[in-house]
Amino acid sequence: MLPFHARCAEIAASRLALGRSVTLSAVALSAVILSAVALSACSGSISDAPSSGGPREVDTAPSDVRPAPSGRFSRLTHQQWENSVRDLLLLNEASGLSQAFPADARTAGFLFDNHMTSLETDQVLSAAYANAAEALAERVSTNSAQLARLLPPDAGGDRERARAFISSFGERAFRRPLSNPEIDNLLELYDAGTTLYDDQSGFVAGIRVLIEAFLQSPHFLYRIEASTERAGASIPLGDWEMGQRLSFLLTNTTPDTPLLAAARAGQLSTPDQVRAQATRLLSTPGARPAVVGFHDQLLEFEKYASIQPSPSAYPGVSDSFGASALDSSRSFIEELAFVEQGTFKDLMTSTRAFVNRDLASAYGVTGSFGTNLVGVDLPAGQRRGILNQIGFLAANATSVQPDPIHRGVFVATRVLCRTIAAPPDGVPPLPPVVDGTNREVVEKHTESSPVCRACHETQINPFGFPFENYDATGAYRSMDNGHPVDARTTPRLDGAELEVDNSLELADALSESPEAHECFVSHLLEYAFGRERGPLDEGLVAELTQASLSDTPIVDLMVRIATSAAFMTRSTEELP
Amino acid sequence: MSQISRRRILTGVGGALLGLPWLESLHGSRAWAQAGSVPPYAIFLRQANGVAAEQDTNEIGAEPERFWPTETGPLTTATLADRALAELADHQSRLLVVGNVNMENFSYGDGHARGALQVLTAQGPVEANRGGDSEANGESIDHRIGRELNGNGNESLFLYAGQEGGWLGGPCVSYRGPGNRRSALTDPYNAYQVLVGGGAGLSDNAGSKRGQRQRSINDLVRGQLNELLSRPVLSNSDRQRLDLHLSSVRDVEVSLECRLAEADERALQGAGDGSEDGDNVLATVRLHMDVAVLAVACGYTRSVAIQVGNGNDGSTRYRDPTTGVQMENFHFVSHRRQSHGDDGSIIAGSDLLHHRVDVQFAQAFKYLLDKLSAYTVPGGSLLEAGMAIWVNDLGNGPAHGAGNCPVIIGGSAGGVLRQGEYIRIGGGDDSNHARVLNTIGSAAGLRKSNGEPIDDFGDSGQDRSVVNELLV
Repeated sequence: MLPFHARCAEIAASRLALGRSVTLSAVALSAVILSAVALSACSGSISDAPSSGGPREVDTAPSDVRPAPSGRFSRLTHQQWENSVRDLLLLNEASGLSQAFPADARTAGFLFDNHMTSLETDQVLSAAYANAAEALAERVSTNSAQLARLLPPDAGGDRERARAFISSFGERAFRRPLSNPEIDNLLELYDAGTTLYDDQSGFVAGIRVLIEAFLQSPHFLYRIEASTERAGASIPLGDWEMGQRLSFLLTNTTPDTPLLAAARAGQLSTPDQVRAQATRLLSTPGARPAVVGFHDQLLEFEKYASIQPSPSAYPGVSDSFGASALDSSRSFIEELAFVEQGTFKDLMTSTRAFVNRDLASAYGVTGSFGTNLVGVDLPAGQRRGILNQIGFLAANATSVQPDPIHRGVFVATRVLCRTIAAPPDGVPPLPPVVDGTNREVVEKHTESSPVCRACHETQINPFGFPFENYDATGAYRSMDNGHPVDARTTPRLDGAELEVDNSLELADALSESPEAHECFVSHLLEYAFGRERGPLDEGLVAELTQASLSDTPIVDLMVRIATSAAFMTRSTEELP
Repeated sequence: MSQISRRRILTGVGGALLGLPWLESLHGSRAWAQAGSVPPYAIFLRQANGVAAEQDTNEIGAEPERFWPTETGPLTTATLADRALAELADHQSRLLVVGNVNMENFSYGDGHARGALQVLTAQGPVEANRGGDSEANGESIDHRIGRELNGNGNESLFLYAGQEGGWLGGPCVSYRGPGNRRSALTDPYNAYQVLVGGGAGLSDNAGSKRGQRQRSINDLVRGQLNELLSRPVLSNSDRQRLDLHLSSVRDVEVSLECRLAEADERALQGAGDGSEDGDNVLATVRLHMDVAVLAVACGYTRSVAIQVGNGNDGSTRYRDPTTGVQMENFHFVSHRRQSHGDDGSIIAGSDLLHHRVDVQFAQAFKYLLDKLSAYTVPGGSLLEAGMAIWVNDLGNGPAHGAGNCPVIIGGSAGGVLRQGEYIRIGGGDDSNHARVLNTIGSAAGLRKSNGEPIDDFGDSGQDRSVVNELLV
């Protein structure tokens, strides 16, 4: 038998599952910050559809800006497909049909669902798109009121009306105007479609087939960037391309009517124009789930639903404890980002939380709580920021004991973007907690051997032990197994050791740490661009880090990305 | 190589006749041309976490053998008694139990990543020591069989039962190529819809109309994709993805011949919801098997992979049949501890619980063998024509051993593989897993350009020669 002992490997592998393994260089904050506002005028055009008024003027992309190469075809994520279909067909709510899609394969080490070059359309997904398109077209075409909302006025016969539909609906589906050949091809399909549904009029049948076709078109399923005309060191995006980038970043869906109008009017060429639209989009309902969704993936909220403390160890915990923790965290992010205009610092230090009867006891708050979550201010002496909330604490625990290893790995990898190597083979099992504290057991187990100590002593445990004041349900405790909790550590932050007494002080330290701010904005950047951070991103990362350290709200950081030269242009180089 | 097109008639469960358009390939050397009148196929069933084999563990101590037959050689009721494999006794004459299959100890940085990502690829990681962020560095055998042998442009089916996400991201055993992991179908009904061209629930006329509509739409979509592909600025990355999309737009006829009865179609619905209840997971597995059997019987594909549970099946809670109570999740049970790592208290009797999970997998595998046996084809049953292959990522649970990983094969691939035996293949403790996959691939019909069995599948540093001990 081949020798392989995976116990230690698995612990560390679990660690790696919690975080990305990308080494990020520290930002030189003293470096010259690249201006997000372009300095030189240039021109560009897109081949898929012309911007209004001929070649557009773009005042971005200074000559020294080199956006990182990226794909030209970014397939919609399943969530983007749901949202886009809902908005395109003017449905009251998402159809849920993407539940039948095969889940996209995970992209190793990338935290978000929108990794551009990994999202593919295979035979199974292609068939699933077809099935969903058929179901949606049926739903719309058999509901006269619903269909009427999509159709242009009848002003010259069915065929002309179909042509007008192709133009108007097509612009919304393709997120750009259609060319005449495209319209002619679709009109030909309409003609064929008029006989393909026996139980509907020829016109409705043709429209129904068109809707099916639009929803299966690569121009709908992919965000396509066709611009090729260089301006200096980059290729400015066309207005329509800019519109879809902006819309999917901030609302995770297809551009709305005002944004399409702005693109049509050539008003997405300057940072000021983009900023105006970004600000507007962030005030729309669609922005909230989009921004929460970013944090959802970054902070692994999905794990919260599976929290199941041991009933014997924690008899008062309800079956809906995990689900409430999940909803609570999402509500916290939504309020933080959109009501409080919160910053990364607030994310780390806010004492707000959303509490219901499932969570009240663990939070130690008194009062009358029902199933609905209510925003409360928690005692600042016990809680500070998202990492001191129940969701993170209970999700990173066994069913009985807090898990300082996973808590520490999460902070190190996701909050500080550090790389932690896989552990060696042959680590003996962790002894049970018989006497002493949980910390003592973990400490002895992980720091007695030089091999394990190399990672645990400096990279993991200092970020995990501060949370020992919270048990496996996330409830505050001062005693562990009859002994006082010792949550003091000396983590290394920004190149220096820092003594902290507990996780509250750790949260304060993280909130002021350039390393943590850089990590957060790097995640934002990766989410915005749907790819890993690369060397060409350093300037933008530095600028965003400085802005975040200067208490720029999280949503404003997203606007800064949207108005950056990197976001408004393409690289002159293609991917390999 | 010659090809003969003919129409096959299979007798299915209940005596229903299925008319099956099949392309039969007759090629290769005499030894490998024994395949009968039906082209061979492979249906893989993947289990995680090893089996309850004889071992010494820190938690339980000396654990007795509960999986492997008592001795090599012919499989008998006696050699299978009290072992998980006893569940397969009805099929023992059509089984090939392969022991001493050793995977390579590639540097994945995690035992489950090493096992799950290697089990069908025989490849190391794209990047070493990424643990749960690992990806396999090559194509999986199920995909290669489909790619080279389907002959109709269909990819092999990749089906999944269990929690969405989790360790290694959930579905993780099937790959198109290096780092290019495939997405899986989780809902058996959706998988069935793929098979029948979305025709489930449609009348003959409606199905025909649907086919017409989809052809018209596909023509348009193909035109759009071809136009996009003609653009000069495409990167290879863009081109590969668009090419895949273009090849995936298929004029799949609504296959009336392969349609299930209405009641059977309904029975496929409502499963594959990501449940963590072991009973639901295994029920989904059986429905996936129904689809898989139909898929190979109808000539949709010659390869299917069914993965049960995520990278370490770390959420499924199988039920102890003796008490009716759900166990801890399978990963905990396999660790013998209430933990995904080294902490947590010891689960009393977890070695026996692990065995009971193995038994339930054996029962599920028997269901697949039963299904395949129920179809008669010229010259025998559908089972004899191909292979149902139950594989495990690991040899055992607590040690996460890469050695002696179970490979249980039902069917002879048309007379190519030995039957009714327990064979421990040679090579000592050396890695020989790539050899086994090359053997399975060859038995399924994969050939080199000179018509000889393949010896090029998997990591090039591995011995990839066919295991002659397994051949008739």
